[in-house]
Amino acid sequence: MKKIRAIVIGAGGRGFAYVYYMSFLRDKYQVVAVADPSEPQRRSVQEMWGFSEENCFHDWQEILSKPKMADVAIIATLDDMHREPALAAIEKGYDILLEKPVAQTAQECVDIALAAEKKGVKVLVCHVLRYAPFFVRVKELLRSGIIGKPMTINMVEAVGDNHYSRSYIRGKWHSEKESTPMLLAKCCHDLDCIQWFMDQPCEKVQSFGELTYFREENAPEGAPVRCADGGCPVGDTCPYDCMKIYYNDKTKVAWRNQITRGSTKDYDATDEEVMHALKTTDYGLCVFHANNDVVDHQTVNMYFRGGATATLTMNAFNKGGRYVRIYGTKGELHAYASADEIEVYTFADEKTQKIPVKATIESIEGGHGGGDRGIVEELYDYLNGTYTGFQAADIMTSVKNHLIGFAAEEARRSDTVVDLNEFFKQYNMKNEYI
Amino acid sequence: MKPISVVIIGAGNRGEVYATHMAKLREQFQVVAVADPDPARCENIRRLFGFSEDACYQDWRDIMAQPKMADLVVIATVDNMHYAPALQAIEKGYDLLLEKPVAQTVQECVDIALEAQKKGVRVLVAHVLRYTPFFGKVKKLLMDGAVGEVMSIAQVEAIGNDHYGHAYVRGNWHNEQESTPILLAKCCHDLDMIQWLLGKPCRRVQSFGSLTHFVKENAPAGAPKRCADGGCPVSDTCPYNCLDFYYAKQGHVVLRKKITGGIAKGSIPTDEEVMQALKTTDFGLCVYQANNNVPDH
Repeated sequence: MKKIRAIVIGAGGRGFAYVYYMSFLRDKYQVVAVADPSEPQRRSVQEMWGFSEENCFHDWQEILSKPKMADVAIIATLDDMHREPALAAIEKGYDILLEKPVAQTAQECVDIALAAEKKGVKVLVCHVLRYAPFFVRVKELLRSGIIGKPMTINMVEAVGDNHYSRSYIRGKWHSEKESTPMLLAKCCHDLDCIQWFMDQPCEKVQSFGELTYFREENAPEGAPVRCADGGCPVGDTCPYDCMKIYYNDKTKVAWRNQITRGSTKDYDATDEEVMHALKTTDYGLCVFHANNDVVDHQTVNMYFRGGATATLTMNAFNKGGRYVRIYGTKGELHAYASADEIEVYTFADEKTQKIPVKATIESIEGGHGGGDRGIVEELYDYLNGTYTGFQAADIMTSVKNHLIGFAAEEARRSDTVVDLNEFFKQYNMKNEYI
Repeated sequence: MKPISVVIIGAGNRGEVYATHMAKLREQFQVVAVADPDPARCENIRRLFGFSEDACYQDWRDIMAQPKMADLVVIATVDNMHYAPALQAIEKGYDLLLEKPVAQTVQECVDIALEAQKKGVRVLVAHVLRYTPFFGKVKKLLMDGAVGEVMSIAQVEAIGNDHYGHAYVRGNWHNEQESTPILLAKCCHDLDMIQWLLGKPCRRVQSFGSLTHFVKENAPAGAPKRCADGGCPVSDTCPYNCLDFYYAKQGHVVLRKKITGGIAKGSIPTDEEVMQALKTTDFGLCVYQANNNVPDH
């Protein structure tokens, strides 16, 4: 079996996950180089794959200035650093596994798609939920026709209060300008799944949402700017007290490493390091004093060609987890995405069935409900030209789904309904779903 | 305790429901008159309370033409017949239990509200979900601060394919002009709930929706206009086959009564009467050929 050679650009949480799952498939993949500004992150990939020191690069410019050294480049840099390495890698003729969101603006996304098309390279975007057993089974059920044609999809993306605070108030996605709007940063997955399930172009989109709760004016009276400053009048009961989340709870090793080293692995942050981080970085800020600008709740209302509709509700105020309901012309299905079973009701026989997500639940491992591992497994055939699956989102499909997210943001900001046929025209794209 | 005296206007399903529950609270309520064009329905109410046959009216106007005869009027006529009786009852000084939707247009709704205010009568609208243990408990939990300030509500109204076919394709609410749009006819409850639970004025609203599935072009090839015409190529598997739904299922007594209104002679409709309804009324139409215009999502 021919091994696919890979380089990884950006070895943070996402980049590391992909090379980690590749390490279970060593007959198929060989990771040969890494680029990342963080020494521990470079080292963790290097040790896993045993390549030489000279194949460890500090930034993507260095690695992409060398002659092409592999078949595929994994691009998992931060959201605001996708476009340039992606375009440079395409130019070099690399195939790409590209972390979502594709890029920060609609135009940048389109640029990448068109460059890949022109150069004739394959770009697989990490819509990892498509490879998670739960979402695969939902799509299979739709393809089987058991519930007929979808008429309405309701998707709830319950981000989780804790996760929201770590990533979208104190963490890397707290500022739209530095990353992307929430609909891209987080709901990129949901919008992609809705589109994938519906199988029709979205024609109109509308959205409400704002940052309502995590604002200065909601700070408890007398709350210090940093929890570690002490004297917070609600310190005992505030679910967002960072002392409680990061300092007192020693079991959250990955989070403690994250805030001290920017890396979750191969390390045990000391209490002193954690305290230092809480006193000096955004991770120590009161959630009501954190200069964040990302919405904490949002709805998206979608109208598809042929008349079907969908709604997406994203918000921070919950335990976390996705919930999917699909209403079709012959039946309905619904489930929590974390569930072992999907409930299906069919009109003709008036029967409710519980369809197992997977024969053995043990086989679902890894992040995103098994999707991180799943995409790595499928990537091989995709790049090899032997792909027979139905999940893969090529760059053009992915970018079209991203455009829905950007259009929804425009709708939210302008308080209008955005016509996607017109929106696509602005980018010389056709609103056709492949 | 002096019972509140009550007049029922419109003794269809909703009017009968309210009267039946009042009959269980006789120390509180005494129904004294009823108006409905269907004498059988009037008789049902009359028997519950034992008032004289003179107090059964075919036309609500005949009640309003008389001096005020009770404390309260229950208005449970069909959607396009709320406005006139409500205004007249208010004018007469009756308090009202008014079935939702209040009326067919914004202006009519506002008129009723302003008239009631002017006259100083009480009008309680039948937002019945507010009185269910489930929604009552949800509201109580919110009032107790159990989840803090509400930031997002995602409500799903899954009508049920059977109920939709019965009420909104074939039944009383199949036509927006004759009743109201489905957001009023059905989701009046849901919109009221969301508003009640959120407890703040709604500032902006947007909506997508259409009648997409139950339209002529989706009729199976060769499907007859009426299921009872026979020869439908999908009759064995179609979940909307009205012969299965109304004729074969003897247990669907309420539905069988509903569709045979004006046809059935006795209190339990016979198979012949049901078949006659399926051959002559909208309840016998193929769901894809039913002249309905209400959104299905």
